[in-house]
Amino acid sequence: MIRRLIKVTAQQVIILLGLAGIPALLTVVFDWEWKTPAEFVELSAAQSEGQMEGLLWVDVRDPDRFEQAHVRGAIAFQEETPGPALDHLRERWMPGRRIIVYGEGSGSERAIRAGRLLKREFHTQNVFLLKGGWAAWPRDRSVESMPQTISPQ
Amino acid sequence: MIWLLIRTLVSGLFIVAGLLKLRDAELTIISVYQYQLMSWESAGVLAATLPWIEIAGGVGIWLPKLRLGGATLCLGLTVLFIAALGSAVVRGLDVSCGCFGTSDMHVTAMKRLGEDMVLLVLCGGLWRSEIHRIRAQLQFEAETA
Repeated sequence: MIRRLIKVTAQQVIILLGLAGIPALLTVVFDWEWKTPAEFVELSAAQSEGQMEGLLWVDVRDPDRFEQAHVRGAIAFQEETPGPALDHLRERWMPGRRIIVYGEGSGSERAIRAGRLLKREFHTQNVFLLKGGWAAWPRDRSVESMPQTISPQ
Repeated sequence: MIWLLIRTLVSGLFIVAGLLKLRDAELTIISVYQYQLMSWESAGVLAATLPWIEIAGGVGIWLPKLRLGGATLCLGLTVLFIAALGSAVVRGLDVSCGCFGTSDMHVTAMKRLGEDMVLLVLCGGLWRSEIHRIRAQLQFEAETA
């Protein structure tokens, strides 16, 4: 009886998965954005792999949070009105220079979305997300800390 | 009557969740990716597939011939969601669920975990009732054969 129950369950699940699979396959093949997002990077890795002075920091948090404290030199990026931040970045960015985006935490959709946008806009793969976001940034080195002075943790 | 209510609730939840994910595909892929359990490409495939499986599960619950399969899918997906959310909580990730598109962006993982537990009980009850129904059906067929 149990074997027959499992068989019936499996049959029904397979039928439903098959029905779901057709539109899913069509979505994957024809209608999906495969542009890669920015990759996560640890603060210590960002420091050791690249010259800190060569990094461009982009802060996607709320403006009031940005005003409270941010990484020195960071550019405030608002998803709704990205124009000013993009203009500012264009002035400072050059090929090869790494852009590090951070939000409140690792799970910041804003940061991921902004990372993707920056990759598209600047045609570069040198866009990274700070793993842990602002929460990972050492509190004693917030707005007053020059990125150049940060030593690996 | 109670099963009809539960069926309506569970089915409605999964169908709406699937449709909302389809409406904002980019958010869905980001929501999956932010759990940091897979690459962007894998998250893309999962995000493209997941809404359709949710809809299939939700619709399946209403089809007598596929009701057990629908309940099994809904139960399996709920377990999957709980596992993913649980792992995010354990790893200290501040993720929003993304279960219902943009409408639950600010629902915390812990709150969503609690809601998913309730959903798990409902799906489990539905699945169990379907198992009983099919078992009775199979027994009847065996006796009359």
